[in-house]
Amino acid sequence: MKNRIRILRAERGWSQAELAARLGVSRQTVNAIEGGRYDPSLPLAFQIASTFGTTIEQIFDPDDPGLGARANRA
Amino acid sequence: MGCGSARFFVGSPGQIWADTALMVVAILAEAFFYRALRHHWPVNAAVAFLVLAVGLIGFLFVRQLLRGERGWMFYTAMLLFAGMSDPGDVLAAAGVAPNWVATASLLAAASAVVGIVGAVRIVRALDEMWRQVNHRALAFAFITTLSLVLGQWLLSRFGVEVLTWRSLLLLMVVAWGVGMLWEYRRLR
Repeated sequence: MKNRIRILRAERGWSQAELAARLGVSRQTVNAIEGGRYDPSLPLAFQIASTFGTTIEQIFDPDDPGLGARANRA
Repeated sequence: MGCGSARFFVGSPGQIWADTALMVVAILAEAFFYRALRHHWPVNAAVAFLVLAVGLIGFLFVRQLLRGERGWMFYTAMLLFAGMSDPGDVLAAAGVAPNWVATASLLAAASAVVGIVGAVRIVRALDEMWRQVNHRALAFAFITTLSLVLGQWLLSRFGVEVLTWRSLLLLMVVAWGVGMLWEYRRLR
């Protein structure tokens, strides 16, 4: 899943380790999420959104463009 | 979800492998020295065996404690268990009194319990991604060990003993470490 974590983190001048400490996860987990290799659980996604003061939708973007539309229809 | 102290694995998935490999080398070295020496100098062999075990346990213990990592409890217990789980072989050959053999057996049982508690502490300290990695690694280790046990059972029906039950346990720990590394590489 694509996301804007790297951009949001850079805007705040945080390192991966700093963000990891704020989220209470390991730096490797932050790195994997940023690279789109690991999709966080819903609670962690909410925590990420809360840490950046935004919403999940503004951070995460599904790779499949139809996924969002289908979710909205449902 | 969060784990303020996922320190066991912070910056060190490779450390899992390094520590596991070190533990395996230590146990193999212990077994090698003990078997090489026991026929000629059983007392010296037993003493060398225990000194080596205590030295390596001390090394792992102090290093992990200094780093604030949680793995020391697990590795210490595994080394103690490997060193003490065959006390009849080690201590009886050294001519030690039977009550010491019983003490060593109790120590082996206690270290097995501590090892399990240590493993649970490690898993509880993981964050969600590392838990996923760990679950997959455990599944890999379980299937590998199950295959080995079935193979061992089949061979034993024909009178061929390839692996001891202790080495199967050791292989399970190694398979766990390999599984962790394999799964982590996938997410890197």
